[in-house]
Amino acid sequence: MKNLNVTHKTKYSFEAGPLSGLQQIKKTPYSDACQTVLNWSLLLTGAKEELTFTDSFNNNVSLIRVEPGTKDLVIECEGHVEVMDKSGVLGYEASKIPLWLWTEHTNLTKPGSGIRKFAKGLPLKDDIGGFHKLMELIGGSLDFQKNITNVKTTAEEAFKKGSGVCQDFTNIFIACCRLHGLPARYVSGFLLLENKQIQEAMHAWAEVFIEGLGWVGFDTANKISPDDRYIRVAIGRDYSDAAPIKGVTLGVQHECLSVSIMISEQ
Amino acid sequence: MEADLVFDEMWADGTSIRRPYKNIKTWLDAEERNSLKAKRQDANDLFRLTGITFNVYGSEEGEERLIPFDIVPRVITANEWNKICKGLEQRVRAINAFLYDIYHDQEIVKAGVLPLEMLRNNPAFLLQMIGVNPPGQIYTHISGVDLIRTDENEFYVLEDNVRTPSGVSYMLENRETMLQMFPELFTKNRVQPIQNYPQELLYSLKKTLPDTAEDKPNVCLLTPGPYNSAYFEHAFLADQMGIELVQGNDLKVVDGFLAMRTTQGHQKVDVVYKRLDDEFLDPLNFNEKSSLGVPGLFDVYRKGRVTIANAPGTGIADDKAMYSFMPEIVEFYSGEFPLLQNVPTWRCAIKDQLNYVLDNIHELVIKQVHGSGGYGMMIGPTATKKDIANFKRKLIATPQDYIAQPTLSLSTVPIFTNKGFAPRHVDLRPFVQMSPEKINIVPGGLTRVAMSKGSLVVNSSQGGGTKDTWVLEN
Repeated sequence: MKNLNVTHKTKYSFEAGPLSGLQQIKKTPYSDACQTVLNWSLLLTGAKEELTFTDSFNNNVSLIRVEPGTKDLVIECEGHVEVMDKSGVLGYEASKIPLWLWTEHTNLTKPGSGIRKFAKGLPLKDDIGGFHKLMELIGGSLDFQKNITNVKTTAEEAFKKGSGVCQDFTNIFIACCRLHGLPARYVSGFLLLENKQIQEAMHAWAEVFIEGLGWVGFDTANKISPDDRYIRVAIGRDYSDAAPIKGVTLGVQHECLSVSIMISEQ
Repeated sequence: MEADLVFDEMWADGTSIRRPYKNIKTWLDAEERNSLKAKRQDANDLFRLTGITFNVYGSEEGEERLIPFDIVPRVITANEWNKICKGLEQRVRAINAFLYDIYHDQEIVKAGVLPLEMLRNNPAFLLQMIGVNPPGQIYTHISGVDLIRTDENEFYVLEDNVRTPSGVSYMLENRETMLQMFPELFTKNRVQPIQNYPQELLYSLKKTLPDTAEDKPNVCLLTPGPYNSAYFEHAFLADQMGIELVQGNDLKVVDGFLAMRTTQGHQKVDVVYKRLDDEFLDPLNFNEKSSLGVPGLFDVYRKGRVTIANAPGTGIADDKAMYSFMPEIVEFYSGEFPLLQNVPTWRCAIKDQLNYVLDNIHELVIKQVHGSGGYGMMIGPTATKKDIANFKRKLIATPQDYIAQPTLSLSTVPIFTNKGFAPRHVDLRPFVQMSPEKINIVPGGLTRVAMSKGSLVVNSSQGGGTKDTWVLEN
């Protein structure tokens, strides 16, 4: 068990002029079978919180309004989460999302010829071994490389490029599971890295539903199942459901984005 | 349901007048043909004056047109109506319970009554509605259930409209016009009044408030704007209900609540009477390209701080493929046999049924699962060879998009034509209001009539007209 301290600061600078509008923020973890959120706060500069709610996936969502004239929007999260090592087994959970929904492809996970061919002969079924094998195989065909893909890159596109980041690894993993009719979902969260003080992005991994066990996590980018270094924040069918920030941009692009995430063990 | 036997609501077997139409017949016999023509002209002028027009989609200039109004009322007896009401109430309650179930535990799927395929990849299934508990557990605040009559005692449901049912303004204006043109008719006949509909709707909506509403709840009508085909109705109803008619940019999330711009600043909104498709409701949560909606409105809804009528996601209950399961749905939630029957329906998504439809296409009506307003449909018996070939191709390419039904002999009611009285096919759209307190059904509804001889297409977008609909007092 680990007691993790998280600070997560995101700063958007708008050069083209002030931006206003609503954004949905999914950066607040909730307690589950693997983790207990001891405390968590969201601090906003240049914006105010309108309300918070839980969405269909039970994610905590904050609806914030960027105040008119804002040139620098800063979103700071800070909190403590106690995490247990359950070898990635989250188990069964109370959710109104029916299992079949997790077997449906989305725009981001819809496989093309590349992934179809890759996933075809895989011995994927309802057991853990197959998914570990899948992680290995994806890791073997994809290089972890930044700035090749972006948040709109589909699983198929990343697969064809042969490189990407954790989002892409995860979307490809999910696409393969769904091709075999297995319920799989996307998790966005934090990961404690021993050798890295400041991280520039949140992490992502997948969860698969296995009969008899419930939901089990698979971190394809690191080829392991999550342990007590992983904090789950939001889930969804793919990246876009769980995205840490989503909003109406009103045509103004944020010119500059800086993220600093610090995770430490207490 | 023999296609060649048409039930005429005035003449029945063709020799004697049916009782409910006796007074109508006496009146029509007594009137001069030319005086009726003049009155019909007056009636149409009145409609033009009030501004009741209808935009026809697909016509080049988005042309505005008057819906033809016929002066011969359609008459329903109190007994007939009471039976219909029982069936409607049962059906609407079941649909509401179905919607709750679909967006919560999906017991109907687990029980094997509804195949999962009906929900999978169904664009009308709104993921965002999963787990939402709408105020008062009401999804279908207003339903327009299309009925057809085939015989003295046979009524069938043709379609359930529970997204944004329209047409009630025509019902109200038709009555208003008849009262102005022929006041004597209403002293000689005891017709159940309908004019309270807007007030009753407002009452019903105010019974379905979010917990955050205060003493004087604020209701507004959200319209996509003047380019919408039903804009007249939106303006008319808002005016009659005494509520604000707003467009997306009049509403805004303020301090975590939905608010409306007024001359005195922002005022909290408790109920949105939504006349906008779900897709356009909120660009933050649905179609991000929509400029008609209100960003964050759905977040306020999920928080339980506003009522949206009808609830988003109700479309899952009224597409034409789901319709074919309605008898099972009614029985599953009410524990009773359906009082109102469905028209037999073939689901083209099922191979055997598709083959039947392809073999018998000349006798069937083909409808698009997600279509409305008579768009994208084909009536076998009157279709051209080209139409049939065209539809066969479509059916084979995307069978899941289509259902087929027999061409039913819709009942006829006389209309007044330049050559005298002539029977024309009609249907009926009753309007059902639902609140946690009660179900309220306005007596009658909108009778739509196919204006050309033999035509079965009553949709106003396809040249159909309307009639005043009377439900007699007991």
